[in-house]
Amino acid sequence: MVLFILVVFLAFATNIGIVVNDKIRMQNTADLASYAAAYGEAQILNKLVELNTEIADILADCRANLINNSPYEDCLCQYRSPVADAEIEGCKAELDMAIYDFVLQAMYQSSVEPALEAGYATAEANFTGTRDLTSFMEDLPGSPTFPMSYWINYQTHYMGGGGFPAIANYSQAQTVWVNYMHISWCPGPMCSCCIPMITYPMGDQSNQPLNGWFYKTNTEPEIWVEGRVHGTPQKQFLDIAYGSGGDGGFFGASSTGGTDLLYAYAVAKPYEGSVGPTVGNINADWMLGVFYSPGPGSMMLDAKNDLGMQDEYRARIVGLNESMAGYTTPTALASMDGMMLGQMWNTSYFRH
Amino acid sequence: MKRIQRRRGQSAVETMMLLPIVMMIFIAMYYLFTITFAAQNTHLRAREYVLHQDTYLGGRVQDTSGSAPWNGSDYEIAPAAEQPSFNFSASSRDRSIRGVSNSTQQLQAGAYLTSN
Repeated sequence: MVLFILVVFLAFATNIGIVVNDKIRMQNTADLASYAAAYGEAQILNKLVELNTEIADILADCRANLINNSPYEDCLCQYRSPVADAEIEGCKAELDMAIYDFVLQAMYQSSVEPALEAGYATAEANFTGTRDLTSFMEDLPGSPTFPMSYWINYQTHYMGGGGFPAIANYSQAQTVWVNYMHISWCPGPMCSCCIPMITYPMGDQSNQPLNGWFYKTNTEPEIWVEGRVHGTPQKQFLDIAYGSGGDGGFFGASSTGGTDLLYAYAVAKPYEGSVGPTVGNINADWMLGVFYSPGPGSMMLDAKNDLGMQDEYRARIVGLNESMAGYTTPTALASMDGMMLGQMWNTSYFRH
Repeated sequence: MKRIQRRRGQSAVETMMLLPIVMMIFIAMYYLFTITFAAQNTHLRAREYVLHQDTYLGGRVQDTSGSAPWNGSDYEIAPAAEQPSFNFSASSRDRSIRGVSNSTQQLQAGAYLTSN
């Protein structure tokens, strides 16, 4: 009798060890999958910084050319310079392409989706069979990974505009003014072209604002990824139920459902970079005067220093109870996810 | 007259026979616990290394190596890409189990961060 109890105890202790081991593996998998998704987002956000910088650079070049070529001279006796205006039209066409590239990259399908795909690939690599048992809360409204959470609104000069689900909320500076000096010689009484008409074409500003870089309207909500991995590891455990109808779960439990599933949650986020200016922190639109100036004491527009574009996104693990600004919190999201799974989580126990 | 009690020693014999078995069970439990504990540490080491290049519970009985998005003091800046493109991995080997530490037997675990 004593021997039997000891043997059962031995099997019991071994099973506990195996389950604990698998729970650790599952938590590691959730951590790494969430981190991989956040790292993927960081890569894409740094690409967005590049594209936004390109938009700012086109505007800076456009402005520099107009300033360097000023004054534009002709004998047309017109208020505006056709040559300068043609340069501005060229800028608009170039800007449209850059704006479109940014929008295509920021769209949910080309930013969040591939990043989450990296998360799924990482889950499978770390714990075979968990790919289909992993979720990044894409189905839960309020989650930063929910397709309708964030939007990009844009406008181009010739290609229209609109709004799409995106990796973050982006609006666009649509009043970036460009300007030039113009001297037009008009017919005078003694010769055909002798009276200078010097203008800064500010009177016709409606034709001059250019669509520019993208910015966030405020610092919230933040971008983060919450991952959940669940399942019952399929293994040969030291219990008699395995051989009598169980399909491989521990202690004869089902490996595909029931109350025996192991769950693990983790959160990660990209941080430290900045795609563009944020209203309130730095100017998003720039209303500029004659030979407009990008900012106090500076004549040239610098994407990094003037607009705060920082291609320094990286990723880190976030505590589940770390409060992050947004539509919801990781713990609230975990509660919602639990209810979807028929579970009632006490998230106050979530400490990591 | 004092009566001499005769003891056959049956309990002593039974105990002597049972004791090795009980001892063996306890040793087996200790051994299994050691394996489980080492396995857990191996997984944790691999996971820590692939995130932080951190030699968690370092020592002569383990060997961890790999790559990580970590520059020694902070997370590395993620290189800009149109699609996520990265592969980091860490492998940890544990030889802390008594009796097998000098042999080729060891526990091994890997941790991966991959985009494909």
